Amino acid sequence: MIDNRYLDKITDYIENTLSKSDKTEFELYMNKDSEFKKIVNDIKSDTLALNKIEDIEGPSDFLFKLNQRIDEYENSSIFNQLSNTVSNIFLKSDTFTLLTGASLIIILSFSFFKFSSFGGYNNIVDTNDFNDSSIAVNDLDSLNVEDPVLLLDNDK
Amino acid sequence: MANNRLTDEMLIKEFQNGNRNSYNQLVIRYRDKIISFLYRYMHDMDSAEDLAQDTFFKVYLKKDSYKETYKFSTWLFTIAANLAKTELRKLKRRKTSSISDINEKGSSENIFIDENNTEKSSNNESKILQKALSELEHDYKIIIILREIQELSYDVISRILQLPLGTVKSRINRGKLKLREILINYGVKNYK
Repeated sequence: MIDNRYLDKITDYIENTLSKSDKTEFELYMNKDSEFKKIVNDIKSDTLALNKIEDIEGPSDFLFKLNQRIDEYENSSIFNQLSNTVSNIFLKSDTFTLLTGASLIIILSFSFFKFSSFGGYNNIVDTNDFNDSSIAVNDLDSLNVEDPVLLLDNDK
Repeated sequence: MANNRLTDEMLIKEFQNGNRNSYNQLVIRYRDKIISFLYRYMHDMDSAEDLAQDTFFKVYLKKDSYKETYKFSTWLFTIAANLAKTELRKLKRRKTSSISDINEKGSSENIFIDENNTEKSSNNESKILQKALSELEHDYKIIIILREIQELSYDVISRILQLPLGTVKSRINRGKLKLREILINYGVKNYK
């Protein structure tokens, strides 16, 4: 039966953090008990093998996806703030103010539709000019430059 | 000064002042480390990637709660460890799949131990070790991953897991003894 006091000190012994006297005592015990010595050696080799395990490389679009999620969050929180402000105005206003506001909106909308021109051509997106630079900018792993962070200024 | 020469603490400070590039730089620095840590803990790549996304998203949302009293990496690993533990609790509560089920379904690294080949390559050795790790109790597994694979100090691990230093040290020792028992049960030659 192996003494628990020594079992508890195996990692400290391997990492060489035992005091001089504890280390001598540990080694004396280890040299007397071959089963214990085997355990210490096994754990030593496991520890070395664990140290050799390398990091896994994450997916190349990790940062892009993360930035997408952040942008969606930011946009939705702006929308929420706006809708809260509007609902607060409605909740705190009296009937007269609301009616005046509604009338003003109707008049302004009518004026806009009456006097604005709807040139269809200007609204057509020329697909040949379409250049979604945000994708390339956010996908750092697709860029092979010394300091890709400098290219991220448009994220500010 | 180029961002890659700045310390983590300088970058998070800049991010707290509104610089999103500094945040991106921190993500690039720690992406692989956090995914690796979460993968070793969850033993499922999809979960690891999702949790890593959640970790960095939380850093974005809670940036102002970081205080310079400890290192950025400690804070980051604390967030990741807490998210992983919560996810495991959810999985347990659902009772639809245990971690060993996840291993079987989610991992492409099913290991069939051939006694004649276990010592042939370090790659195989690493796979066997990872398989054995996945079978360890979570309290031991997380400490071994943080200490021996991520190579964090006991002090940092004690902060991340909010455990006394003595508990961390005794768990790592007991964890390694248990890991050895698992490897013996696998019939790995070294341990016969």
